[in-house]
Amino acid sequence: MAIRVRKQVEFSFYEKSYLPEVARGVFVTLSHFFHNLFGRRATRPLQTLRYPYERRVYPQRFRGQHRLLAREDGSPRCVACYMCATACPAYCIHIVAAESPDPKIEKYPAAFEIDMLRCIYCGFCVEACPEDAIRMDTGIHTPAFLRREDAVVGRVDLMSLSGQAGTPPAFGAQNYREKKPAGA
Amino acid sequence: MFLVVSTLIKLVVFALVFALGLAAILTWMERRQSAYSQDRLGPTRAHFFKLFGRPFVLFGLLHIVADALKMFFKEPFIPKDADRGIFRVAPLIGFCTSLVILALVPFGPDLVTERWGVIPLQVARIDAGLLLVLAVGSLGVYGVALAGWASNNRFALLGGMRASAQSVSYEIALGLTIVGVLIAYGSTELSAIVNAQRGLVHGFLPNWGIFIQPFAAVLFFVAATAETKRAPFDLPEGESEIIGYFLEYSSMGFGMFMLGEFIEIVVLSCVFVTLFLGGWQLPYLIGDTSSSFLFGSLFGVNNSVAHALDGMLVFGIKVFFMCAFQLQVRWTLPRFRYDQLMRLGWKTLLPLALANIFATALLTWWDPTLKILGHVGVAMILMFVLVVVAGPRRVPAESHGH
Amino acid sequence: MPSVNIDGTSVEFKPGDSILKTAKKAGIEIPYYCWHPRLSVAANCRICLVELEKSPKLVPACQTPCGDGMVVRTKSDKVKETQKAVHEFLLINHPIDCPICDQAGECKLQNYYMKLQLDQGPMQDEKAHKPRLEELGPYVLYNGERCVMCTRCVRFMEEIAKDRQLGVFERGDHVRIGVFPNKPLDNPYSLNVVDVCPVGALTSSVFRFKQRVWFLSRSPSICPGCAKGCNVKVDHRSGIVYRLLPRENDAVNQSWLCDEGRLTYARANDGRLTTAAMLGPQGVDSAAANAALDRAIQLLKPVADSKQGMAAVLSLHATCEEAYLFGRFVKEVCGVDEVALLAYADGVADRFLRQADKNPNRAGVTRVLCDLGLKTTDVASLCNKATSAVKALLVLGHEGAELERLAAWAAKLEIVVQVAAARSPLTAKAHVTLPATNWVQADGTWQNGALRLQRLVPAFAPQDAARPAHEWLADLANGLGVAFALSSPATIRAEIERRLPSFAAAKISTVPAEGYSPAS
Ligand code: SF4
Ligand code: SF4
Ligand code: SF4
Ligand code: SF4
Ligand code: FES
Repeated sequence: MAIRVRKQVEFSFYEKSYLPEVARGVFVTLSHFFHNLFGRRATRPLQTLRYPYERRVYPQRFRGQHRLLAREDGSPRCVACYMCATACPAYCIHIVAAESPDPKIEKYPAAFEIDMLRCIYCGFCVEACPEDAIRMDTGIHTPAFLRREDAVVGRVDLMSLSGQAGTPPAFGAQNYREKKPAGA
Repeated sequence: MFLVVSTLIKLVVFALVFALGLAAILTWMERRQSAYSQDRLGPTRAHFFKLFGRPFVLFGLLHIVADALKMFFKEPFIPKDADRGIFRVAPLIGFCTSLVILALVPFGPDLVTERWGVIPLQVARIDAGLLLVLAVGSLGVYGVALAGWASNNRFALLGGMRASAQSVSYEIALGLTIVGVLIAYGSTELSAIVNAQRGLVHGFLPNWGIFIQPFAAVLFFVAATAETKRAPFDLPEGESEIIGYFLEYSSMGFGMFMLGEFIEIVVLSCVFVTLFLGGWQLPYLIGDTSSSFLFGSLFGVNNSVAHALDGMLVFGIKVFFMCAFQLQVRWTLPRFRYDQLMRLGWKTLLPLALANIFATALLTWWDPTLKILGHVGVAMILMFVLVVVAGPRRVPAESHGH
Repeated sequence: MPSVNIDGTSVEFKPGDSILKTAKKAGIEIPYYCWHPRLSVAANCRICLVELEKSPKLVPACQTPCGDGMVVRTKSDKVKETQKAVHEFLLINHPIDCPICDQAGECKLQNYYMKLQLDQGPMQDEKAHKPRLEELGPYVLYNGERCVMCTRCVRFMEEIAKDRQLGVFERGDHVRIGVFPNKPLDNPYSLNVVDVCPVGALTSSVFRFKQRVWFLSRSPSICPGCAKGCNVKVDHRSGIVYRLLPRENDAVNQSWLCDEGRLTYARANDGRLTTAAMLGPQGVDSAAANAALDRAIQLLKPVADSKQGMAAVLSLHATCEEAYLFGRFVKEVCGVDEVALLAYADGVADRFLRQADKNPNRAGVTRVLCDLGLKTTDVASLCNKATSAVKALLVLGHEGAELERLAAWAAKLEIVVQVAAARSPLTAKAHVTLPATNWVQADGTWQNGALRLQRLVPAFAPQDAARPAHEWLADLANGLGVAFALSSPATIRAEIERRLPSFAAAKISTVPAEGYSPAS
């Protein structure tokens, strides 16, 4: 990242006298005010989205709730290497590694938990994973949790999610503890 | 006896119904107006029931009710080591001083009745009215400073300190800007000032403070905004850095501060309207004669009551627009830095106010009919408009992407 | 002294020293896998090849002794090229599955790859496959694919453990390290091979998969396993100890550790007490630290007033500082003249590291108590006493074999106060339990069987209500009306030095990191 040096802006006397610019500023905000007051919103629509009634369709690269991918036989792809936990800036991934029954695999996560309340959805875990075992492509917005423990999502739940199927799940189907989201 | 009753009625009608009601509506206006100014929607959620399948939100007005309910039912929390007595009393101080100022403002023409004689539409007609406005107004900062101090919280204390420093600095400028008006109209009694603004200069220009004393009007507005701690002078709040003197307040204690802020807006508008916008008069139509223009022609009654109603209506409308203007200023300007604030108060406003006094005194002495003052005022306004419209514009710097 | 010129600087050497050793001393780095400072030279990995003037071929630095006037180049292009090539060879059959390898983070192969090779290597063919998970013994697992055949492990068993349990089997692509039929790697020093293995071929079944090493913090300490007092490094994270590694100390344990001592790491975690507890009508329940302290003071008050009827038990895991304060407390406050020592029974000893005495600080504790004029006895004889004469029992520590017996005896007593770092059978019987720090968290001094004074450095802060035992004792004394102005281990050490004859010359307050044996 290049470092950008901001030049100190030199103000002219006219600008420093402040009032004319204030007046202009008030005109600008007022023009927006009247524009919106008299309902000419078609030309410049309001930015407000009436969430939960209206929802934005998240883009394909939206980083939503994590999921763990499975191998063909249904066992987790994850090899419990802790790369994601190492990369995670929020220290919210908790893994317990165990000897895998498959000698070719060596390790597997006996427990794999993500604390969704600590997660900052940076996606570093996805970048770090050497096995492509974790993805954030479910399109699920973090649910609201009623209890702290609910926010710690375990391996089984993480593996039960699937990739984004277009639109996000409907409002109300958010808390997968009670109800699996659509497409699960 | 009659005096007491009439005063009480005036108090209730003006201070409680009008001012408090307007303040309550301002809490909604602030949100709605700011939202529209920023291309947002504003409050739309509070509702009690649905009408035709949609929540009945009444333009978001129900938020006022929701706010009030919330404030009343929250726990009034007092921090452990706070000074409990002062902590409780502090919110009331600012609130009360604002209401006292309202008592001095004339909100309509005198009511001339046969039975009771002349009833001034002003709660307290005091000869030193304007001085009292200044005196009581500066007491308001006690509420803020004490709240900050009693909270036993360093950030709250900082907020209180900022507020007192700011109000001390701007009080002087505030007082001096008014001197110009005093010179021009020759009275410190507010209804006398209003009456002095009757009539036209040159036959077309209303004899209003804003035309006679445009410079003082601007200075007054700036200094008074700083006194009321509104943006861009809201450093005592400074929510992004210190959160402010009411940091430890919850429930109605905080509610009092918030309502107090809006009351102050109303008070400032009232005083400004009285001093510079001709009070309850409307040139050509209301006040020049004692006949009623609006209610008189509407209902065919042409007596003093109709006349007074006209005046009150005009006064209310003027105050309303001044309030709206203050809100708009808040949503236009970012907050000052503290050093900028102090520099503006001491090095800009104070000398300018002094200069204004001398110029006004000179011109009034030259021509006591205020005609020359009017010339100069109008010239200044025109120049300002010219500068705003045709002044240089900085080409916006090339914007950088993310 | 003769000198050799390495990379342009002239370095003096001891006759007989290899180039690698001489360079290492001079701070010039030459990579090595198979060489180990405490093992014989095998010179089979060839990563240490350096250029020697007047020699037609490169020579292995680990094997070539220095000669006067030799000119050695370790950074020349030729050397670099060779190192890269050698490394390429080492990785030909290496799986490079670092993410799932326990050695990752402390692997020589990783470090040298980043330093010397840093490319893909031209190898296209399928790598040779070998057994990936072979149990060599109870604690050691072997992954043949990751082995670089440096034979350090074999040499360790042969030369240090003096027990040929490992050998090199097969040749070429099939070469592997292994044990002999029906002879598992069960030597009591077996886990050292995991340390010497430069890569992730040998892993400890105890530590395996528990943590990635880069998460661990490390601090120096002493092994509590026996009276040898081997120097260890404590690897811990978030207040949990994950393993002990040997810390080099020529005077004590060189770079080795016995398996038994290594596994004492679990003692630092098991049942650790973090809250005070009091015996109430519903049994033992946790309590606020202040309340427990007040209760203990209230219970001990009659004993302190009458100065009789008190029995004192002190664990041999206590530091000298704790022992000193404990001794003063029971003697001056409670009028005790005999302290029972809570100890582990004697165990196996050998001629290398392990001592029969399985208590780390018997020497220190007994000398401190003796100097204070206190008699010592053992728990068994204390428990043989009739309980009628004894009113109260004060126990410091929880480490020892006779805890069950002590607990059964203590159950009959009116007052039992315990200061301990972890739960023990006694905890269920104690009227008040005050949570103390264990040896990993303590700041103190231990004296090993050879009277060497060694310092314990706190690895991490005490959790919740736990406090160092000396603080509890000082508070108890304070509450009972005797003020000990001893707020920190340092002030206690200063007083020990002043007042105890055995330590007068021993300078307990200035024990260096590697320990110190008093002259006597
Ligand atoms: S998205 Fe970022 S914060 Fe969340 S688990 Fe992954 S690495 Fe951690
Ligand atoms: S980085 Fe991937 S494979 Fe490694 S532990 Fe995380 S999810 Fe599992
Ligand atoms: S031995 Fe070293 S290089 Fe090989 S897989 Fe393990 S960490 Fe990686
Ligand atoms: S197991 Fe380790 S120490 Fe033994 S030969 Fe292989 S790499 Fe060397
Ligand atoms: S270190 Fe010299 S050959 Fe291995």
